[in-house]
Amino acid sequence: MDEAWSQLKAEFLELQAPGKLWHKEIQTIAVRKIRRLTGVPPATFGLTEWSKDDLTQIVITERLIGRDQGHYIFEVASSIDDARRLLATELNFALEDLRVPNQVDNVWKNLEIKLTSLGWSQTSSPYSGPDHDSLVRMVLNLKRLKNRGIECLSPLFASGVLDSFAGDLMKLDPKIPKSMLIAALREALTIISPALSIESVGTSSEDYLLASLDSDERGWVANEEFLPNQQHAIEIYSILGPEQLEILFQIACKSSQSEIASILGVSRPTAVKKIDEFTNELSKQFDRLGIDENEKLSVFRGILDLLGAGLEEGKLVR
Amino acid sequence: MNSKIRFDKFQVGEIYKIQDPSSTGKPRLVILAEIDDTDYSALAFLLNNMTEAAIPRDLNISKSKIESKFDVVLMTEYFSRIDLQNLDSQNRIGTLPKVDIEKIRSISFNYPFGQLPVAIESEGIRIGKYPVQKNDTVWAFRANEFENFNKLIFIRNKLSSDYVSRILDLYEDLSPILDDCPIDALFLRGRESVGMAS
Repeated sequence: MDEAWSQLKAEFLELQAPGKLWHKEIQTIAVRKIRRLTGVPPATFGLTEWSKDDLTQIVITERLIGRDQGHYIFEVASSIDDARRLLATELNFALEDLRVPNQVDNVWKNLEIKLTSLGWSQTSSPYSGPDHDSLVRMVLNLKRLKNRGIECLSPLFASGVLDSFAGDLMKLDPKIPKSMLIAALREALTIISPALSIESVGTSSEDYLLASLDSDERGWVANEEFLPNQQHAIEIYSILGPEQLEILFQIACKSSQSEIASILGVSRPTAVKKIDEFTNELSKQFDRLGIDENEKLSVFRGILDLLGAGLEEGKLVR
Repeated sequence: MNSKIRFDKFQVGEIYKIQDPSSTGKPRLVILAEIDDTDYSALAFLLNNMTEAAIPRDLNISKSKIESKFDVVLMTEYFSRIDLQNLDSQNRIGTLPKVDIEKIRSISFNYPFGQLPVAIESEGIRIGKYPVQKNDTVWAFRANEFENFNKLIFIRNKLSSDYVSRILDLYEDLSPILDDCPIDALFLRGRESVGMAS
């Protein structure tokens, strides 16, 4: 087990809750998330401003303590990387929960127009339609649109789907109260919204992290030392020359020896020699820093991050 | 029997963390459904903590029911054999009564498609509500969990030399008996097993 995770575990064990070290980890993840959400109004999530401290506090109180997810992470994670990925998921969930009221407002605004056009109006007449649970089930079973990511408010239902839903509601009881519909929407969306943000939870680390980074934040990630072994990556990056960094990038792109020769402007045999020199230099640095076999990949990825490389449609680009 | 291993350590219904010794799979929680003392393996359901994303084939189990510190989701479709030696035996996360785990196993197998029947529910055990749809990210989550679970499971082939080695490792007392056993007889028994299997 790595040292950082041992310390976090010890702290959790002592306090039986997340302490200062956990707070710091979540804060780092929150800063990264806020950078990614540049341009998204904080009001989308019911916040007045983007504050790493507020987000950290919400994750700790609502998720780690309120939902006991701190204990889950404590029990399940085996390394600091595992823990960070699980904490990142908790932050996503916290944000999703925060934006449920806004999504309810949006859906209700659209639904109300359709209901009104069918003759619905708010009345205080006795109601004999479906109960709360049945209404929640109806909302849950409406066909949803493809989720367009978690940054912006992605529309949940197509207009036609809401038309049909409004028609069904009117058939059941045209006197259905607004408060009941909103309560049903709130409960249904509280289930739907966080579930939409789940893709990968602490599994394929390399793809998950690299693919989830935007180009503008990669440099920042390096500064924040968020990625595993980032310190080693920075050190090796500073030692390698521009030509060697180009070779590293081209190797990661699976370029052939001829392609690398062409990019470097040298003959193929010279390129082969330079590639050999580069691989020897890299091995030497790995050995010097005492990097384990299974850590080499993440250091390599860290160097690629520093080069500004990232995945775009499955291809490595800068 | 190997003195290092205690077969009576694990009980059906107990929840443990399982790790991949090769570290390619990420650790997860499993609940034991059937223990095979012969080769120190067990059948287990995979658990996760995503209660919001529990689909109608999953069961939300409350922390009070399993006497743990958090709620879990039991994925009835993610059921496989695991190696008990890969469990973090020092730390039992919780326990579901044996009668409940047997009921879950029986009902989920009898109803292999669609939503689980309400009969499976009891106090502290509820069917997941999330209706997964086309293009839902929950599919990606479940696929990732399946891939990861594949790295944590134990593939048992009783006709393989690996299996024999495992048994010999587990039951050290067997070795002297086998040393005295004519090799022809062992070969013959092996052939019979192959014949029966095919």
